Amino acid sequence: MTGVIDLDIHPTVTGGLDPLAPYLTRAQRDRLEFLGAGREGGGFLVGRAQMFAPNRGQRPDTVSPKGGPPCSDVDFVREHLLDRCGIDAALMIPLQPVSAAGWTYADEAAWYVSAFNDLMRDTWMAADRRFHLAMTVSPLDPQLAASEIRRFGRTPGVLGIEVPLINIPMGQRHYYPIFEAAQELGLPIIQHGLGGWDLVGVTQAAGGLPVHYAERYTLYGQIGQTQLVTMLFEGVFERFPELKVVFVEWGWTWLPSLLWRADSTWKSARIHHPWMKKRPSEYVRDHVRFTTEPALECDDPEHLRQVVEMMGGPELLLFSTDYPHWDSEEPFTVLKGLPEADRLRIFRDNAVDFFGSLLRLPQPVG
Amino acid sequence: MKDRFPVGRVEDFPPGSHPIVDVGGRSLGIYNVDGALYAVQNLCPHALAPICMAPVTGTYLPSAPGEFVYGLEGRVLRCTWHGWEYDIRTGEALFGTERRRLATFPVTVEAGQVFVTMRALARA
Repeated sequence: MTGVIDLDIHPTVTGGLDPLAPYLTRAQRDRLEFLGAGREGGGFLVGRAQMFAPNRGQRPDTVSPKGGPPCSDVDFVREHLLDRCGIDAALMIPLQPVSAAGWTYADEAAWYVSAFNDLMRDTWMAADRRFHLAMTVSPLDPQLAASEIRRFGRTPGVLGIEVPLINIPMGQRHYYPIFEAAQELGLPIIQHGLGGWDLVGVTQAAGGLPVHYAERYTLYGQIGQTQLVTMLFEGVFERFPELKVVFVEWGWTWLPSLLWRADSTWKSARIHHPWMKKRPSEYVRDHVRFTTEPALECDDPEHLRQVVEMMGGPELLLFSTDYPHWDSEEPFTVLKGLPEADRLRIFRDNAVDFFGSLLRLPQPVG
Repeated sequence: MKDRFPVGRVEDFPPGSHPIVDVGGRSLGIYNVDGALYAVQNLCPHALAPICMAPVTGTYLPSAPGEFVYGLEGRVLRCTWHGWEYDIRTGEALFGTERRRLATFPVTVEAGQVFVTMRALARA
């Protein structure tokens, strides 16, 4: 055979970005390196904004002297976080099982999160009573999730149920078997979304997919707002009157404008939601709490106090660090704009009121 | 009252080095930037992170949209928590991003001995 013309072959260049260096500025090369373009077998720049958080998302001071990833050494975390920051109880929300929401295999995801729950019970929770768990369920099959709640949910130290998000808003009936089991066991739903946006099947931000981490981080609250508003207007708290929900890391300074709008819309559109016996903001007060990190940093600290007042008071807030992530907040510096009595309430009393005897405290509650 | 604290011999701080020393009740990073020595308190004013764990680096300078221009190599501390950036030589936040600044202290060298001049802190 001679004279053939082939219109599809694929050459590969080795050596990462080195061979391209003569054709790039130093700044361009560094930027591409940072985005992973030099990885072996790489060369595909995927829009994974999540990957490019400041400091790659982790605090280096959270790496134990033994090495390993941040927050992987139980003994070091006891000392570096719990002892140093004076923490009596900490809610663990492992993100590895949360990521199983992005799988497409419902059975396999259920096995994985269930095994993870058992592992946390036998390791971290057994090592120190201060470690509490948001047990994870997979949202891919709500019946399997409800079974897991009934199997594992009474384990001492379980404070609630982490339900990772998929592209069905939390107000919709897909989740009702999960809410029913949660209410039955008296366990709050812990709503900490995984960043998503770059995983198959998980919740997307409204209006289009942003490129940059700063865009994603700034807009993050809108996903949480969707969950909250759909739960209110679909009547979740009328269907499950004992259900409680904690929104973790969605932000909260947006609550005043969101709740004003929800309350005023409810007055006008109540005939479409006749099951709503009270204003949306009242359901929030009675059923929902928000964790503090990331707290607003405003130029005038007085504005923070005003926001807390407008959203319904400090009772709605529960302190959180988000350890070991880059944006974590420690009790020494956070929420300085608030009166000291409100800060103390947020650091402890609100959680005691909300979780009650689920907490394993040095002096048992009630 | 300010005191002079010895922190080592000049050969302990070669160009590019940034050891952390404990002296006068403070944790300090000692930086050799282009042959000059700088002392920076190991405490980010934002959330009290141990900022001297950060590598010494450069950064992207303010530029036109879509353009990346690298500069200030060897002069920048980018905090290991929230990513705030400071100039090691002055302690100031870069490019007017923030008014708070790192605490820095004068460094002097006499007969090969390096001193930092500062007010001592009583350890709690």
